[in-house]
Amino acid sequence: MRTRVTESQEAGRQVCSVTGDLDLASVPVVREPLRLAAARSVPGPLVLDLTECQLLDSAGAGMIIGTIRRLANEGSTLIVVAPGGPVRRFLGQSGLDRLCSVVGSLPDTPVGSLAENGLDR
Amino acid sequence: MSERNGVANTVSVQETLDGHPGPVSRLAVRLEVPAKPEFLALARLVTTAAADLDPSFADDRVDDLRLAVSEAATNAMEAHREIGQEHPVVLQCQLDDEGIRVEITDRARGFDPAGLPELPDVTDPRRLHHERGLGLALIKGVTDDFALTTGAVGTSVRFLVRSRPIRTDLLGVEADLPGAGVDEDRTDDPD
Repeated sequence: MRTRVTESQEAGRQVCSVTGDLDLASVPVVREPLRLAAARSVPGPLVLDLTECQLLDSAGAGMIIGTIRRLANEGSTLIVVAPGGPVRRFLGQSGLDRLCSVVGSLPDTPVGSLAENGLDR
Repeated sequence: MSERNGVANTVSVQETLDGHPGPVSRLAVRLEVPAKPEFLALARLVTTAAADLDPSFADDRVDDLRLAVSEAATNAMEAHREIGQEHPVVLQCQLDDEGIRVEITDRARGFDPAGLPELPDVTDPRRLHHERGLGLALIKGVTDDFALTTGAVGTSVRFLVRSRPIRTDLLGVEADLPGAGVDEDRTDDPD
């Protein structure tokens, strides 16, 4: 399945949605749109919607970690939407769920920026 | 069949019944894929389709297999790309009564496993500076019987993914399954 990235605004939040697999093959496709969405989302948070993402591995995780770092430098945070299945499991297995907030659905994303996130130092 | 222009490659599938009739197909697959990321999906597809031939394979275990293959094939492809190695990456898998055994072999120059940087804990802010190096740890975490051989002629990663979870130390959730913690993995044996 081809990986696609779309950007939208939901309730004032910048949302970047990835459909398909997020691996070494698709990271080059997703990286730039995600970077732009991150820049536009400040003061944040940025929402990364992985509801329609079927596979996430460490290549995708590396890109997400880079995004979290850039957002943190701007005082912002990342919220990942992953309802269940292998992507949600991976967020736990890789420890990514402790670097950013993970919620089950888009409406669950907290409106506040930093409070719910593990990186509110 | 040999590789030509990084495109043509071999898929061979062998059904190996060898006197073990039963609901589970016994199968051996060999796949050679060019060391290009666009072939990762094919590697995942072939291995998970092989596992799906065993109807008792738990969904979570197929997910573990998919992730482990993705990680191992990614490492192999990146190792080839780093040195301009044009040979394909070789993926072999064998489906048997226990689960699926996978071996992914590259012809890069190997690496020193002890030299891999230790990742800071995820709660450590310095963790955000490490975007790579997660792969092998993930494979170990989601597979059974992980083994790594690496040297000047290449690296081989082998693992087993059991069709049903018997380890209780992976994710915590398996610990509640009936039979978990029993010091035997033969609870399915009829006798």
